[in-house]
Amino acid sequence: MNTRKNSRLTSIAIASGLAFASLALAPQAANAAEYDIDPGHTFVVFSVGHFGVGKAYGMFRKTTGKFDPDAGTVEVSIDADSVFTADKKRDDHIKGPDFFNAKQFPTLTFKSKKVTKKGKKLLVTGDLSIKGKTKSVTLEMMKIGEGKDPFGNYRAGFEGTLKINRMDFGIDYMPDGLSKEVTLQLAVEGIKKK
Amino acid sequence: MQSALLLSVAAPTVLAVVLLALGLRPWRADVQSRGRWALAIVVPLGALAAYIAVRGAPAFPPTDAGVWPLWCAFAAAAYALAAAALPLTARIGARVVLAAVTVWLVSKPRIDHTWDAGTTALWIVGATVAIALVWTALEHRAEKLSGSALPVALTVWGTGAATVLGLSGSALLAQTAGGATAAIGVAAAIGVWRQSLSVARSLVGPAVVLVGGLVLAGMHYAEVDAVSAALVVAGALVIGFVSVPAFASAGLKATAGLAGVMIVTSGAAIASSAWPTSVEDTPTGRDSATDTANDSDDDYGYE
Repeated sequence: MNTRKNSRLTSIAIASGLAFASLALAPQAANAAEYDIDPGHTFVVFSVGHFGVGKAYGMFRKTTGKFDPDAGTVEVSIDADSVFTADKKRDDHIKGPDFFNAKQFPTLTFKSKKVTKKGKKLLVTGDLSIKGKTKSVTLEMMKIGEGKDPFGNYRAGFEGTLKINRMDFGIDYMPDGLSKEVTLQLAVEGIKKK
Repeated sequence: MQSALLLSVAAPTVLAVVLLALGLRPWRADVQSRGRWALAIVVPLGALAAYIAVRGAPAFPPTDAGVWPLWCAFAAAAYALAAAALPLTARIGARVVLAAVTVWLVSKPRIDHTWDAGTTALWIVGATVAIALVWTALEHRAEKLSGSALPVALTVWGTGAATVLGLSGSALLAQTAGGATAAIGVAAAIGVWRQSLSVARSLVGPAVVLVGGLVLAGMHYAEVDAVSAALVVAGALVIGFVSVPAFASAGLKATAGLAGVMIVTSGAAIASSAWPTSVEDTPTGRDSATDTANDSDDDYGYE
């Protein structure tokens, strides 16, 4: 009899525990907020060594995507045709088959798989796809801030860096003239979905 | 950069000299009876040597659609080896099939992502007909003409196409075409030496598939304009189909005649490529965001 009573009590305790747990988790799920990347306030800048004596800088003018800081998800799509290096002739060359081959591979994409905290930094690990080749990379991101803008939008911003080997992505033009390592600097701003 | 350019010509030249010396043995009296295999594979191998010298071994299947003509040229080399044993209808059929496959492989990313059915049909049919026609024209001439005339013309043709591709903003495509052209140039030199040798017959198929495919890739993925591409095609059609007595006999007269036609058409193609086509291409026609940038229109430091 006692054993039966104990068993019932145990069941009630477990059920109650689960109910409390789900209540505790519910607000977190409700807080999980998706942000649309604001293309006008998002910058993807890259630099590459030039003949071992200097650095060439460029950026992409069109970046779209979304992120959710609570769920730890990031999806970014960069328009290869929007590359800009302050020289039209060079831009056309970089869009062509020697570099991004933008007509065959119109977008560069990143999709996160895992986000971990390391001090103040967020380590965002995911798949980076450039020119049809996908590699797992880890971005080091820092939150800049969040809050309401004067227009009533809720914004959050992050910045970070990533170093990649361009050869991994089939961008092998001028192996001696341009460094293999390319540094990407990202400043991403998102507007919370209403 | 200069060393890369030099390598992309030197590597296929050295390879072609070795390959054709081994295959043709041009110093021997029975030179005509041997060596077709060497002539057939020298074009794709020359292009491959240039590619490897500059960029390393190419992937198969290639990621960049612009690399497909290199591999298709090997299929054309197989055709060149078998062509002598095939009836005319089979040869024409094989040319059309190989041209269509090359066009389809080069165009596939555009078909998948950019074009509607009508545009796809236009490109596939148009480019296949152009490549098959050029192939037929040049093979027609090659069957009747031994010696240096056609190989020298093909060397000028390849040089013109490589220059057009380079001006269109793709060193990859230009170096691949340049490598094949360097190999053709070695065959042409042997043709000058041995005018009785039928050099061009086995060169034509691989050369047309490679150069035609690369120009098509230049139109799809770089900035090769339609006029330049049409002039590249026109030069080959003129020397293949137009009957001029001076073109019909072997020797240096025919060599000069065919090369002259190619110099004119290829020169026009290069001029068309170099000509600014829009306001943005002119030195003062940059878009506003670049106005404050350092001026380096002639050389922005990557070339």
